[in-house]
Amino acid sequence: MPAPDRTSRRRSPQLWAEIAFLGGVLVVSVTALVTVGQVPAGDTFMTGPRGFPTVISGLLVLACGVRIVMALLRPESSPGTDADQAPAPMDKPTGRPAWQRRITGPWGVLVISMGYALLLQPLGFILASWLYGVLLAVPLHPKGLRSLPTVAVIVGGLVLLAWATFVLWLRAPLPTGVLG
Amino acid sequence: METFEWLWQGLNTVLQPQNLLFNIIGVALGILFGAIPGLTATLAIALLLPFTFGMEPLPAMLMLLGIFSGTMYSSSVTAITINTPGNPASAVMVLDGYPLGQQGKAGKAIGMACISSSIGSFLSVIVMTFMAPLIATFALRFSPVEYFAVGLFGLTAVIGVAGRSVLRGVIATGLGVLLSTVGMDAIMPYPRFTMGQSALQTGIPFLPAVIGLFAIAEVFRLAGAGAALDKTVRTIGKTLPSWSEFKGVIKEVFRGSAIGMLIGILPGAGGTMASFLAYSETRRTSKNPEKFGKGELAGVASPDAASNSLTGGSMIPMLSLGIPGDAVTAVLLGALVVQGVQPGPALFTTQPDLVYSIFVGMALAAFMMLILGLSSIRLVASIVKIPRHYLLPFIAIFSFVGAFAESGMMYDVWIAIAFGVLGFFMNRYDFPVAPIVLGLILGPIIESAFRRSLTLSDGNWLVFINRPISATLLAMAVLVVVFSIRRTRKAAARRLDPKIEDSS
Repeated sequence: MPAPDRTSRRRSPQLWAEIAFLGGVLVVSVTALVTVGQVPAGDTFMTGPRGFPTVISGLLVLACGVRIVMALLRPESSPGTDADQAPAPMDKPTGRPAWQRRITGPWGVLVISMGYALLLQPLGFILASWLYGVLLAVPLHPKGLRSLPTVAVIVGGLVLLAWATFVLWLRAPLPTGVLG
Repeated sequence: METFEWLWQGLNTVLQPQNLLFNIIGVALGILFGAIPGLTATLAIALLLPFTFGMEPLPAMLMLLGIFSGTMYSSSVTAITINTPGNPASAVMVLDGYPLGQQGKAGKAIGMACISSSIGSFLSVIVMTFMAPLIATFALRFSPVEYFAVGLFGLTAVIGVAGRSVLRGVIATGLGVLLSTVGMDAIMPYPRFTMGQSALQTGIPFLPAVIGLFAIAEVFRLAGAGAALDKTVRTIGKTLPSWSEFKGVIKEVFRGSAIGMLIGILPGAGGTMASFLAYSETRRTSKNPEKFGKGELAGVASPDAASNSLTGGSMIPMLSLGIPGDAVTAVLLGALVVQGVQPGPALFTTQPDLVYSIFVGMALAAFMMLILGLSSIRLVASIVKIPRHYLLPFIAIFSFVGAFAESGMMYDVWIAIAFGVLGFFMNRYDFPVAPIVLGLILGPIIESAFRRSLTLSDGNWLVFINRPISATLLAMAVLVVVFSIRRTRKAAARRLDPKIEDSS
């Protein structure tokens, strides 16, 4: 059997994306290492509030550095499923139009979710959650925009159920706004 | 004798209508949630945890433990009906469960899974009831030195078994521990990494972080996945195995239960290891190993008993030492802390009524699982077909509400989003998420124990190896890391060159 093509992984966007992620963790660790210097050391370095975070962030910097070097020097096969995570249950392409796929890609959902978080206070839980649910569900629905009436009703019911459970039953606070 | 008195009192407490109701609700919700592909026990508990905020500690725990048990069972349903495990622990169920489903025996396989889950769960509760107090009594003599060693061992064990790369596990754990240092220092009050934000002085809120890492990250992942489920088993058939079929696998159920309990006690080992080990042992000792993989009922019964008996085993270190062994028990520990209860050896002397009620509640949950599980097989089998376009908004909205509801602050929602993004990228690049949760929980315990140990020993580092328990645990931690590195190197070599055989 021929050996796997190492260069393909080396050049793959997946590898660079992983390195970018590790770079992010590295930046966080270096920032922690620098800012922890402002914390008083206490009587001795390791028993004071500065010692432990210094060691941990130092180890993290080292581990990230080693991992980045390893990823560049010893590319491996594409990442599989983590044993702690549920495997992707539904991976078959659905044949939805490009605009639907774009909206419901991870970045699209992130943007919609951030918009939801921003609108929760002014609009209130019911209205913001209904809008959010519809915005998520319609592009995911195989029928697209044609599913709007059905989706609007089902998501509305879901939102009201959540509201009733938290506000009426659990007496937990939910953001209030235009419609409460 | 005292144990039985507490158990009797626990039974009386658990049978009070309110407690019983929440136990049943927990099991029912667990069964429903577990049957939805992708909803793991950790995710279900994190998502439903906010519902317990207004409750007393006992009903809250009874509900959460019911969810834990119910989810572990019903995740097998998806494996049997749509060839997709509901969570990693039920991945092995696909091997014989789905072929049984294709033969029109899906109901029988689910019924068998339910019965063996209940037996496994019940047996593990019995072991837990007698073992946890013993460990707690022993742990009362622990000094900070031993606590540091136990905590560190817990973290290294998780690093060792989580994911396929030790280094990735180290990075995830390190990140979790580092994040746990955010906020006011517990020993010498001084803010660390708070960036001047008063909200961060109490540290990173645990619940929004867990909701983000598991639920919101799952929303992002589901958003990118397709939606077709074309392998659904249409015929459920009979929902109960016959007496002779049950008699034929009872030995395997006990074997699986024993394996699950042992694995559950080990920190970090988890349900996946338990169920796969039980399956391979059952096949190895079977008179008809060739039947496995083609629809053998024992191939369903044994791993399901193992993954459920793990629930009791994994509760032992969490309750008796205050050290969770995996992500689910870490979230359960967080739930107890939110309720003002601090698990650990002292809990057995300060609140024995609560502890023994929890034991009884878990046993009752096993019984409820049997009744509710068997009576809802057809309903649960249809839940797996919930379309993604409704599932995703459902998880998303409940996640945000859950993150907000604990404190009533939008800040927690943003924390959940941030952790959701982190969890999504970690999943995407094969970094295990569970060590972050363990790091968040164990970080403060380890730091505090480490600093107190050094203070008490006047800065003498040898204190960690001069004490036998601590020295043993630290040696075990080193061994776990060494063996994990060896294992992952072998696995990596096999991936690069499939001709390399696994000598182990």
